[in-house]
Amino acid sequence: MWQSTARYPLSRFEGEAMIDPSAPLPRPRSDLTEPPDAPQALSGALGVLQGRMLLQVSPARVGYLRGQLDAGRSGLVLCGKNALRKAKRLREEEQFSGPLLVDPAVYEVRAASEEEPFPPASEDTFAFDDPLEVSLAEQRAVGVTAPVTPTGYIRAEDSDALKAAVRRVADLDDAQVVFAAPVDVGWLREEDAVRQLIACLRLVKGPKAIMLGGQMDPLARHGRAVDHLRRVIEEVPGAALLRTDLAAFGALAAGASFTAFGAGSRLRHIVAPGEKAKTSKGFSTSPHVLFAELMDFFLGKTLADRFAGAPAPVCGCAVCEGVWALDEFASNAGERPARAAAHNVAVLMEWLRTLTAITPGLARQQWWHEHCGAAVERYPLVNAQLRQPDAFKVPQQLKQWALAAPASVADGANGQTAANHQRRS
Amino acid sequence: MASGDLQAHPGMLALARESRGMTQVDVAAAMTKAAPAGAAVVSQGYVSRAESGRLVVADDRLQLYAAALGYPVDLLCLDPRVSGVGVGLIHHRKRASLSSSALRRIHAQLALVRVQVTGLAQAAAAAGVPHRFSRVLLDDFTTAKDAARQVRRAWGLPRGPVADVIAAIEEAGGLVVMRSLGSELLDAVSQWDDLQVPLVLVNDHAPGDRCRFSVAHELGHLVMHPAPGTSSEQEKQADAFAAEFLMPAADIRQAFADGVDLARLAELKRVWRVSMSALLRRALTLNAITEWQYRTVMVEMSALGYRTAEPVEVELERPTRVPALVDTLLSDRGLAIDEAAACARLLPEDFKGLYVAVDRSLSPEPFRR
Repeated sequence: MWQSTARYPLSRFEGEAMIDPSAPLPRPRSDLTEPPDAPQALSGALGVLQGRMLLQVSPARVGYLRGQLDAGRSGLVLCGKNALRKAKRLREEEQFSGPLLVDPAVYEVRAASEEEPFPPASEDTFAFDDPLEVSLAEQRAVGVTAPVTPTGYIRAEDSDALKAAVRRVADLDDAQVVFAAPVDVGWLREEDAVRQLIACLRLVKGPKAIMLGGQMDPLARHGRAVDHLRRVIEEVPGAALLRTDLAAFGALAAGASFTAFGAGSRLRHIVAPGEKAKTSKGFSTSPHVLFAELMDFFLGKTLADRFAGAPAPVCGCAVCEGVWALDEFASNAGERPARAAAHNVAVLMEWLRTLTAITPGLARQQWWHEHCGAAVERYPLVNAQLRQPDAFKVPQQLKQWALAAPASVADGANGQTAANHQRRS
Repeated sequence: MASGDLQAHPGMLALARESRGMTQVDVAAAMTKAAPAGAAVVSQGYVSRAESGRLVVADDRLQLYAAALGYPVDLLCLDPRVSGVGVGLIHHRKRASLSSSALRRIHAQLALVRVQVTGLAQAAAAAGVPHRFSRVLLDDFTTAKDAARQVRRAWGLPRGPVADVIAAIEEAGGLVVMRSLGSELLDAVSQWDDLQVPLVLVNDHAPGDRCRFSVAHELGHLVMHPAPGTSSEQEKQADAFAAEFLMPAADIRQAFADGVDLARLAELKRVWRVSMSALLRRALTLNAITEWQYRTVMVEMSALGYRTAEPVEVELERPTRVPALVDTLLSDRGLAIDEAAACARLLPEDFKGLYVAVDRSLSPEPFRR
């Protein structure tokens, strides 16, 4: 065996001879016919997060959407500048008693490395302060439900950084700490990387908050990314998916402990430090609006343009109440941004209520699969009504969820195909 | 042992025949041709029985057999198992269309190369040099790319491109032999049974960039695969190993930070000395470029015919350790060609063709260790 050069000589990562026999090892996943472990129920204060879909939001926008939050099924993840201050105010002055997390989002500015898996976010941190401990203490002090680790961005294939981060969090031996795993979506490209990600995450006791890195829609980058994400969620007890989009529902259906939907396109994915997030044209001139039937966000201006020659759908969500149509968000004037944000959350909460009313397991996955399939089928119909064949294009990720049938459904379909072949022969 | 006591080992007879790419019928015909006029015709049945050990090959028949195969008599008398040439897992980087008989021939050549270089090393008193190869066990925590990083660390290779892959293997105590393997469908074969020095036999037909990848691929096999496994899985792992060994993630990510076009790709090929398509693929895997960028450049490469013949020539790396052994024997020890050939259990002409004419002229540097 090679000699380990890591700081921890008895590493669980360097092969058989270096395995600490007293450590609980993950169940080998080589036998893929085995059912995955049952979802891990969160314990202690974290129990309140179980099965919820939180909203990941910048402190300045909390007011836009707080009124639409479902108190029993959702909560907040604050992210960005002033997140700690806002969390303190929410707890102490604004009577917010729901689940509340603060994402230190160090991954926005620094990459994790083997030497510094939790790098200081700024240069002015004292060298003798441990960024991990300082951050966890700061979060606890403002009354968060559980502190989230200040993990740096984990680049594709950088297993040294991932292992160093996991090792450090495992050493905390604290199941009440949420381990943030801001991983580049390249981790979901190939089988061996997925296996390694699963094996490493399984070594952490508490919840593992995965965040996916990549421009625009990270899950659309690889053909098997959605399948692989689902596998990670299913095989890592206590897996959560934060700062994401539609995948928040897909992950919840697949058994994630909790998820967080980003209230703003910037908060629906992460990008590697040093990269500028690419945005759609006209980003700053009108708000993003969730078109529920198509299960995608569009700029209000885009919707107004597309429906210029036809009546726009009137939204029946708790905010629009059948009065507002989707073409009424064409600019940022007046209350439109706030109303769009509230509309988006109201629609998401409706979906969440429907999803969580279904028994966890296959039935939930089935519902999500069918919901996505129905949306995919709506695209050509809406385009036909508008007489614009390319007015709306099915997003790649939505297609992937629509194709990612739950295992038993897929088996049933395969069985049916086999039977058909037999009949034909 | 007097020559009259010598008798051929059946296993070596088959191995020697396969190394020449001959059938049993070919050997029988060659023996008949080499026999004195009026001698009995040698049949294929005789060769078959000799190879299966059902009859003893000694005396005149042994001489005849050696003449037919073009090897010295004492080679045919070696027990391949004792000599360590017939055991151990052999890996190869080949195309699917390579026939099984051609593959057997190359495997047999590898086995005999082992005999040859072992003989040369013993004669040059260079045997017993400890090598720095270790196995890396792959499991859920350790991927082939981790294995490549571990090897780079253990061998003290600096960040950036590997200056010379063959030299790196030789400096770690491995042996590399390069020669024509008679087929363009196979790039390299390797063998390490944990008892002897790891050995890589490289086909010299490929361009330098491809050759570097093939050797790194074989290094991956040597380090990661002590036992046979699912062949396609092991090949994928060896490719992943080679990719990380030659193009470490951290460096490649940086190299593509400012985007990519054909000119940039050609420039990177000069630096990293791997093919443009391998670099492009690596950048895509690392998410350093988008799928769209990848496709765009690939389309341009196809249009320019770069998918079959890339621009920027990468110089072929050459082994130096075995040529240095030959140099020691011929220059320092003053051995004649036939004496040195006997050390390698080859006939002098064969020895000259394989180890003197090619290697000494190409790699005159002395053995570095």
